[in-house]
Amino acid sequence: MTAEWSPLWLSLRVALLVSVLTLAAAPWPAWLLARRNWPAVSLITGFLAMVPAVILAALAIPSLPWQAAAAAGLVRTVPHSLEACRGAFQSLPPGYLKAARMAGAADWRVFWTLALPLRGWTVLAAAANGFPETLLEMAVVFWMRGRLAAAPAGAILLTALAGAALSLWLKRAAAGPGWKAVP
Amino acid sequence: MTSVRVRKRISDAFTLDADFSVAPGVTALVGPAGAGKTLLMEMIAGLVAPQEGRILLDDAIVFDGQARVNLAPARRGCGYVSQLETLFPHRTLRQNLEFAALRFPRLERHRRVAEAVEHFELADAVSLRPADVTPALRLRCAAARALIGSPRLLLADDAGFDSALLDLIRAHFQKSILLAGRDLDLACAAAAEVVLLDAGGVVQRGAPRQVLEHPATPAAARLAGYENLWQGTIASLDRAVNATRLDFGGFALTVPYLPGHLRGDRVWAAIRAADTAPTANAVPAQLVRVVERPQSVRLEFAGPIVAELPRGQFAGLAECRNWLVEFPADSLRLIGMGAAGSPAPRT
Repeated sequence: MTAEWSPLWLSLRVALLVSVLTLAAAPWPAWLLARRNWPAVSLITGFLAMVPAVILAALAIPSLPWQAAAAAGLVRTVPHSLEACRGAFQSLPPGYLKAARMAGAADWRVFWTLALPLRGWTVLAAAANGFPETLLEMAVVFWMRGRLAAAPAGAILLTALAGAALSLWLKRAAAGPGWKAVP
Repeated sequence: MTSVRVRKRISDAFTLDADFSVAPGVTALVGPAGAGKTLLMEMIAGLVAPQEGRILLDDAIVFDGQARVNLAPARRGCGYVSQLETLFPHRTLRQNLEFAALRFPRLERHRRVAEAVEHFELADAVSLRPADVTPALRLRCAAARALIGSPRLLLADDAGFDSALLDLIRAHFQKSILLAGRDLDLACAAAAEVVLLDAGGVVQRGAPRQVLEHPATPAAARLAGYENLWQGTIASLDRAVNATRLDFGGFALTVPYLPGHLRGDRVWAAIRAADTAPTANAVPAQLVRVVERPQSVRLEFAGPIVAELPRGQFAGLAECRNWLVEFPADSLRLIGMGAAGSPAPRT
């Protein structure tokens, strides 16, 4: 008997899409939110980052299309990424931002030329973090529906571990010296 | 003329309340750490908004608290060299210069960058990143970047400028420079006017020599490097013998007659450690500590009194147990009446 591998491909497709969309969606709002401390925003994003949205969506909608699963995945990964990016942007040395303001650089230019290059690893790590999380949620959904055989389950687990390792490596890179600091 | 009158309350303990003007040439803003120099510079640059006041640059209003005018930093016409590291580490020096000139059309931008590179002798380093060049080159690049927009006023906030860099800047920038820092030597050497700032307020301003030789307040004396500062009372005044006796509790001094004062008036007296003359074989001062310095020895007596001796002179007195510290009358500065609540001398 051959194993049914479509859950693996579907999970990969959803997780990849979620990661890419998170990478596109989170940094700019995070940059805008980084100017001030918004306790309410932190509370909401902190709460949403803990919600297993894909599983809840699958429970609520029995015939959940993969696009909807990806959208549900974003509910969890975007807030998580938003918080991580916001923290990274807030830790930019104030001297750089002052120099940019003195030069009259617009917000978007400072974001593109300063914030993203200097905090790129953190942004990538935050987006990559959504990949293993979504994969595992998808695996749980297929398992609940009795559609997950042992082999694809193992493959999903291994891929999730690889994704988690990639995310950890990116986080380590973000914590490293980055651009050679001025002594 | 640039004039600054600003007020901002930061906390219960600190309010910046400054009023001064900056003439063409170099003006030095001198004060200890925490005096409010950086805050004041950032207010002028437009990075921090005062709560009230008015700032005019070249007689144009850039901030007015009442009229709610607050121009953005880039529209003020200020160049700002911060004490923080401000060169972007992921860009080369040329790209750093170009960033500051982005608001100009392409050809004009290139012309300005090329001029800055030439004036500040950065040609050999423009393709390097800040971490790969010396601190002196980084500072030169930061100054070049601040001047690339042809500002009306250059603000240098404790940036570590030295006389050579100031000369380089002044060779190409003839407008006003406000130089904040703690270095009195540089202020005296480079500035036409010194503004002393302490605890958020301007305590004295004037020509450097005038401020150094005739501090108007105890705070100004402290900032001007008078290590010995005591508050005392006038014990006696005698016009006939041209003498005033000042009582400082533990000791007394006789100085020339002080016209316009009465017996019992409170005055401050200040003298630099280097102007005192510690000698041997008398009792009044008890030596507490000896601090070795490259060219001299700093003697700290109970009182507190601080004196400074050349090394050679101290060598002959090293075994001395009884000290008499003289305060030559011509070096002693008497700083008016000590108002109630005026700051206590440094201990």
